[in-house]
Amino acid sequence: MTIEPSPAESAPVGTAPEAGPPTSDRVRGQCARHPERPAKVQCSRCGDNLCDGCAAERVEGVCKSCLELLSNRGKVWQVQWLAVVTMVHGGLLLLWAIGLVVSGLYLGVAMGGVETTQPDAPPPEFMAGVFGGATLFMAFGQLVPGVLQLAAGWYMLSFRYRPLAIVAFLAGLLSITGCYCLPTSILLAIWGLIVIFDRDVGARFAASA
Amino acid sequence: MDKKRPVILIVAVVLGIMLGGLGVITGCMGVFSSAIQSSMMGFQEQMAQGNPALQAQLEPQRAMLEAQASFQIPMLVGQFFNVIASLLLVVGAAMLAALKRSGAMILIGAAVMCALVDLFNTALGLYMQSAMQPALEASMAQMGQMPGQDPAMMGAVMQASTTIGLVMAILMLCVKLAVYAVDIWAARDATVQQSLS
Repeated sequence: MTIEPSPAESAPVGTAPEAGPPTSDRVRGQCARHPERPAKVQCSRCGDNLCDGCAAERVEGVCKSCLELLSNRGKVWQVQWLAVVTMVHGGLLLLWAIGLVVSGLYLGVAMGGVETTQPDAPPPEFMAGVFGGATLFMAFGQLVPGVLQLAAGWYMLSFRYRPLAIVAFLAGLLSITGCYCLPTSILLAIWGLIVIFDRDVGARFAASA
Repeated sequence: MDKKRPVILIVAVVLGIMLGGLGVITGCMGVFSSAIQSSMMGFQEQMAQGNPALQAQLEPQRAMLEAQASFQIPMLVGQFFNVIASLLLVVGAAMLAALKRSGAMILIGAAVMCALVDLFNTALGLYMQSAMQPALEASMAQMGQMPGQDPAMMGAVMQASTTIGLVMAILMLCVKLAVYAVDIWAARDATVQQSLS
């Protein structure tokens, strides 16, 4: 389907034009894309008149033309890739956290049940507590960013909750407690923050806010 | 160029590149570590010359290496195919990202190949671990005799570590097989097929 040029081309990114609220009782005239149809609402960004068909294609009040325009600017196209990579990374962090919890508890129980033969050795319960505590601490450092990145990736697909994405990328650095995931977390944070702080990406998120 | 891709295509590409990259790295590391193991052992033996205590400590390690040596050829074959299949997975994913129809075919074929190679490598790893168990137990018992070590604690840790290792290996295989299945499903998805040239 081809989309005719709209006034959104000239509108500043991320700013709503000075149009009235998009209520049907204030809209007069014809649809900007289908002159044979009566207008029912206006785009909350460019102010174009929209018929019923065009209105059904809006996202959060923004018309399809504006959304396509915003989606083709700057680094906006990278957001979907970033979202999928973030979800995959978050899923791996969660799996690692679960593995750490289970193996830490198992090892702790195994160590706690040992009858020590050396009188000067620390009590097994103490050893099990130290080991179990350290493992749970490591797991916490994977669990928190894992959950955050899964959620942030999911919402990024629909350009929502930008601050959550920022928090999720930074929280990835908590994975230093588990060592293995830190290098990928750093790379993801660098890429993620570059994309998410891009002006056009910000405008695209604002359009869906 | 239109930069838009269906999300499901992006999922297939990301999973393919991730699994493929991981496979290439683990395959190369497996080949490298088996290549340097014998020379490392030789170096350690040189260091232990004239020191009976150190030589005694190396004995279980030598036994483990000998047990491992009998699996050298199947292990290298497994790692070779692992690297090839993983490289194909990366290539297929890259071609799919460029919206090439042949990319989807390569990705699906490579994913099936990777799944078979992983099954073989995991089975071989578990068999190797059971074959090396006596040598491993002897090694841990010897470490338990060192000053400041508790043999009972070392034994408990060793047993628990072995069990965790087995369970983790099987779980890792299951996760990888599931991800390969998702990758194949994503590459065959109707939306993806429509977007390919």
